[in-house]
Amino acid sequence: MFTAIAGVLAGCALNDTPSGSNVVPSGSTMVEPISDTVAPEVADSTPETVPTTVPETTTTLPEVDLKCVTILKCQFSYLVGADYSLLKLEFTDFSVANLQGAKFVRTNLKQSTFIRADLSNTDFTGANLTSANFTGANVAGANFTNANFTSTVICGLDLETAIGVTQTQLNDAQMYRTKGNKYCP
Amino acid sequence: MSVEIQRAVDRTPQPWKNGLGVQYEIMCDGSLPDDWTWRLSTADITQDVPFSVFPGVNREFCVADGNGVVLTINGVEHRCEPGSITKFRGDDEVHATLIDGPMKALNLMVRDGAVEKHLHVLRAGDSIGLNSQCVLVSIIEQAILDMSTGEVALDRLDAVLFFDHGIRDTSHVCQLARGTVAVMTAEGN
Repeated sequence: MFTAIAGVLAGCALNDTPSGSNVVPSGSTMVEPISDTVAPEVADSTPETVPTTVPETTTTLPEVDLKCVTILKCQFSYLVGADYSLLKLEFTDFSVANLQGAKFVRTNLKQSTFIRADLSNTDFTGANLTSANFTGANVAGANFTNANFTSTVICGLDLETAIGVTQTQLNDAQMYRTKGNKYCP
Repeated sequence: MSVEIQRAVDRTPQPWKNGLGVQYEIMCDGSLPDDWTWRLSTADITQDVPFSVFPGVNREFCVADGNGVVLTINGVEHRCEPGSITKFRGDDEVHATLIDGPMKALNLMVRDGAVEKHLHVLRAGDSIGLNSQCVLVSIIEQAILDMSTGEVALDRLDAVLFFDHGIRDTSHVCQLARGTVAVMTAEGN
């Protein structure tokens, strides 16, 4: 299962990390693995942790819950033209990634991060962008037709260069000012 | 695997590449100015200053002490609070504006093509498996780390370095009993 998704997400780091209730580092991302037979969907869902092999350790602490989660990080990655359509990529970190021309058609990107990513000419048609963060991203030519902008963080974007963004979508988003008293997150 | 405690007060100050500030190297696989593929250091920011330019380098910036800073990155202002991590490219145009007094930053730089390394922030009660690819740095306040060998007290910006001696890269599961730390981890290990 992990091999399959790692292949799809070439260029991203996929880690197994010891995990207790608080063991995932702050700011880390988790991805819900997708079964080979799961039909694509965009519907919202709660992220799940996945038990995997427990790394060998030299000590045991009773407080530690040695379940593991899978962490997916695509930060700084070169992912030009990648096709992520129909996948569930909640909590994925695409910060500062080069995603020019990538496809996210109907992709579930809930709480994913695109801070300062190059999203020029990407296709987010029908994508679930709930609580995703687009601070400072380049969205020139990016298509957001019918994307779900619920609580999506919008700051430092030139939306006039994007395609398919409506006022109705923006009414659902978290809009920040690029400069002034309320800075980008 | 052996563990080394590196105290912040023992580090030697070095000027920034642009000469506008002071930095303190924690760990690096080469030497200044540019003979390295990754570098972890702290920096004192005592005034509003532009950052040095590092083409072909990924940067992660963590507010390690003080009240934070506003980083203007390519014209977009980001309010960076204590314990936050901000990622940007070394060739981005970055200017730091102090929020309320001087601050100290933890800086990770990784050159394109090198093994990925990233920063994570852990808080009291968190646990992590640490191996020889990791460096742990106390930030914001004093920290107490519960390791298999006992408790380790760290002042602000003190670091814990791990060495495997090339025999077998086991990992320590450590628990943070108190404080906040930033951990540099390598991906794919």
